[in-house]
Amino acid sequence: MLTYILKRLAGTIPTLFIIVTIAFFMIRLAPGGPFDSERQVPAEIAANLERVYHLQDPLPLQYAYYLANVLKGDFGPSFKYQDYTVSELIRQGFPVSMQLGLLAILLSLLIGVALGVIAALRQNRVLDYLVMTLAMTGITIPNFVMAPVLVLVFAVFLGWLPAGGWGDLKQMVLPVIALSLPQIATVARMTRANLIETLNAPYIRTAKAKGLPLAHILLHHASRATLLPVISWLGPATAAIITGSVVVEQIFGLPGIGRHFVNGALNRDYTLVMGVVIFYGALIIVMNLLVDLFYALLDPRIRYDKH
Amino acid sequence: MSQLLSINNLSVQFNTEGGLIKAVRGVSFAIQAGETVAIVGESGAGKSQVFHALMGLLPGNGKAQGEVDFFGQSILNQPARALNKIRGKDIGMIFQDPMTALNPYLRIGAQLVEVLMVHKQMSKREARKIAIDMLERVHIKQARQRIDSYPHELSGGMRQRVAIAMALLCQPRLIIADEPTTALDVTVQTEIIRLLKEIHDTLNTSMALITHDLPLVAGLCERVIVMYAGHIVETGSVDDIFYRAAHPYTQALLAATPSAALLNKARLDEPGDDKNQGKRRLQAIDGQPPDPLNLPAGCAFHPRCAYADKPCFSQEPDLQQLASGKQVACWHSLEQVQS
Amino acid sequence: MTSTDTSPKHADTVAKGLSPWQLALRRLARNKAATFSIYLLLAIIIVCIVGPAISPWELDAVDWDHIGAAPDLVSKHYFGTDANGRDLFVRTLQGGRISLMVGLLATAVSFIIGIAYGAIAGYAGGKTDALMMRFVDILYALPFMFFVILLTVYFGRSIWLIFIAIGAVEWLTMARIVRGQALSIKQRSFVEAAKVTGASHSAIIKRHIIPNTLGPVIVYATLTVPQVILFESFLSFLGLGVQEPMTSWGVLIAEGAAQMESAPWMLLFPAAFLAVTLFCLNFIGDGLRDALDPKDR
Repeated sequence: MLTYILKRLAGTIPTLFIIVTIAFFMIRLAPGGPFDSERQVPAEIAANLERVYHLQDPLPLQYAYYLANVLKGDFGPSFKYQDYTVSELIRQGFPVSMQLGLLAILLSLLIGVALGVIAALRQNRVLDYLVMTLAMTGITIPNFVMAPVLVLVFAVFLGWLPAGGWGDLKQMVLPVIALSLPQIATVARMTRANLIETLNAPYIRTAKAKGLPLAHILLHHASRATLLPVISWLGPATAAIITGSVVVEQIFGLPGIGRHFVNGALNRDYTLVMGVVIFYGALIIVMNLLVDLFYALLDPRIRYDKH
Repeated sequence: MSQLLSINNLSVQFNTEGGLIKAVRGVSFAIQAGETVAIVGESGAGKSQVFHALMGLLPGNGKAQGEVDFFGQSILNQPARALNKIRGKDIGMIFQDPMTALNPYLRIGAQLVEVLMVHKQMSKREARKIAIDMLERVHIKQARQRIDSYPHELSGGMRQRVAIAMALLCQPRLIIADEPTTALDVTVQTEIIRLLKEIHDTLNTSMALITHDLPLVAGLCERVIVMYAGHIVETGSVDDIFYRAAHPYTQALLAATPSAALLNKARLDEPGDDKNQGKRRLQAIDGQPPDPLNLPAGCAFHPRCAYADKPCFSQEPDLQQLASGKQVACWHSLEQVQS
Repeated sequence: MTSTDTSPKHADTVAKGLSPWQLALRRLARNKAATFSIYLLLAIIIVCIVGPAISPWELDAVDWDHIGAAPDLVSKHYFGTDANGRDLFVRTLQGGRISLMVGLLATAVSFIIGIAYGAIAGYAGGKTDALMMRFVDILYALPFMFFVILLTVYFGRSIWLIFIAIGAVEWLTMARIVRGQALSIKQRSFVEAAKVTGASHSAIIKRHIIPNTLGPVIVYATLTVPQVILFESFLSFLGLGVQEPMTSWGVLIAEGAAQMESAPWMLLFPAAFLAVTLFCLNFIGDGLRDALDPKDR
């Protein structure tokens, strides 16, 4: 198990390294970027950039400084917001984005698995078709369409929920739903397919032949094989949720990282965009790593089949 | 001997994309208490489907009709809730491939213990004790440690022993073994058969042994039922089948490996070294097994039968009594007897 | 004798005389959702191509008499107008052209890169294969959406960048699929035979490997098109994709979302077009997958 962890850990380092390297050279070469000698930025920022990037030093040294800074979690000053460093902006936005993302993942797991199990047990019957049609809708309709529609219906027409803001529970409902709908649909489809396949497995036939009640079979015999793929879904789901949160934060006006990111992109705030890319890249990679380790922990065969 | 299981005019059909498959076509037989019966035939003969049907294990597209009585109770097509009072408790089942029949995600202990907890309402600790005893009984060494293994940590033969222990936990009246040795190495096959024989001898449990490897089980069974294309074509005592086979199909089955068969029967009667047994598997019989979607008219075996003539092409023979306990479904063997 | 005797695969062998492709087409034709989706998608494509010519309005012509007007047949603003008085019918269909074109072109790009890369890796095998696939693995782990946005920050926002960026992202999965297929195909006897007769590597890849990977690749390509359309709309929605005066469904949805309280039709029409198109493509992809690989049913 330990060698497995180390091996997986070693595998993630090149990826992180590549992200940071690409980021450095992109900033370095950006027209109008911090390294462009003909840049026109306020003197204050120029001084900051000078200090952070060691512009007088040769290129390899600059790269080394940049790497060292990133390792310390310092992404340099924002290119547009004079008084902020990128790290400060990320630190500000992260709690909101994290709450939003975690709630969405939680909701997706709970509702998605429940719907998937129901559909699988009613395979090819009305309830199954209903759930699967809903799931198809959820997957197909992007959240930048779903979110405005939700606002229109529940905030504007019905007036049940607020259309924006962040803080109390009521304000969280619509953004979390908008963010999790496609994921609920994905989880439901995946759970259904896995459970149907698992229920056809020979060891489930054995369990039936042993006279075990259906509930016991589902809970003890089918649950692992059904849910393990859902666990591995958590990796890509993190990426999807983060991507989705960019839109959702924009639509609901939430003060998260996603909004900084979009504004940064629109304003050509190189350092901010780059910082967010590195931050989210690292987050996604770490999530994938954790998911893989968790998976190995749950599947007895992986622990020993290694090498 | 009292009748334990009686099957009356059982049919099993599968609705597939290609059409209706009649896997079992009106099969009747009984198993007495304490009796061991081998159900023999090529794959596709419908032998497993008979038992899957009565255990309520047919896949969704399968349908069973007929009458099955177990210990005075009608069990065919009963809801799972009712069947669960019998399956695993009064009827134990062992499957073909121990690699896939055990749940790979659970320790074998958990898979054993749950049977006792569900059927006998035992506590976990009690159940575990009995499970360890049972593992020892099927000759698993260091059962106390092995019980915490996952299936993939055990060898194929060991897994099949675990599966047998699992089927025995509640001391069932009947054990159904569905090709219990097919997936195993040749040397392990005999060990497993010997274990089954030992269990039968000590516990006096009834057994239904489904196999395509008649010689292998000959030493274990008292009676043989030969199936072909969803029908019983011949049934009788082991000696009847081995020495006085009446149906051309049975004869062909035996002709494929006559000496090995007899050799093996002798070996099982008298345990010894199993190595160098050579090829015991059935050799191919001329022709192909029939297409289940498109069974030949008349006797299903006639396209492969050397004796086939007029009545065989158009009319399917019924089972007829030849001698006491011996039945055959063939126009020619009947003529022989009558003339 | 196991239940596999009753599997559809077995049943299929009975219907002789049809190639696998013909069988697949037959199964696809039996799938009502997929067939309906094909017709509906064709209808959408035709309307997008022909529609703007039918309307008297131009893409960015301002109708001062109808600003933010609701759908109305008399004024020939079938879908209404936006806040600048531009006709939404024409804009939605023009936007559709862009969205569909991006979807098809970017998929084609990814298709070509993915097939070439995967076929070479799979055919070469060994260390080359391991190295090439390791590279794919690393790229896989990168947060691509963000890199594409990064690229737009860099090179400015242009539709060509979107083509290239999306195409360059989507080829990864394609490469994996093709490589897996190629690995198994190259073991087959007809490849051995070709080698023995002295065919060159590139000839073998072109003539034997690629044609035999087509099934799964077509399925995946069909499912890639909606992803790409979604991707483009996503970028456009954020203002990072297609730019004025050009438009796409993503741009229109963003405009509609901003005006949805006063002019809900501005959101409704482009959103409906986008959603229906995505639905159709997903159903077609699922249908194709089931038709080519019937084991799941």
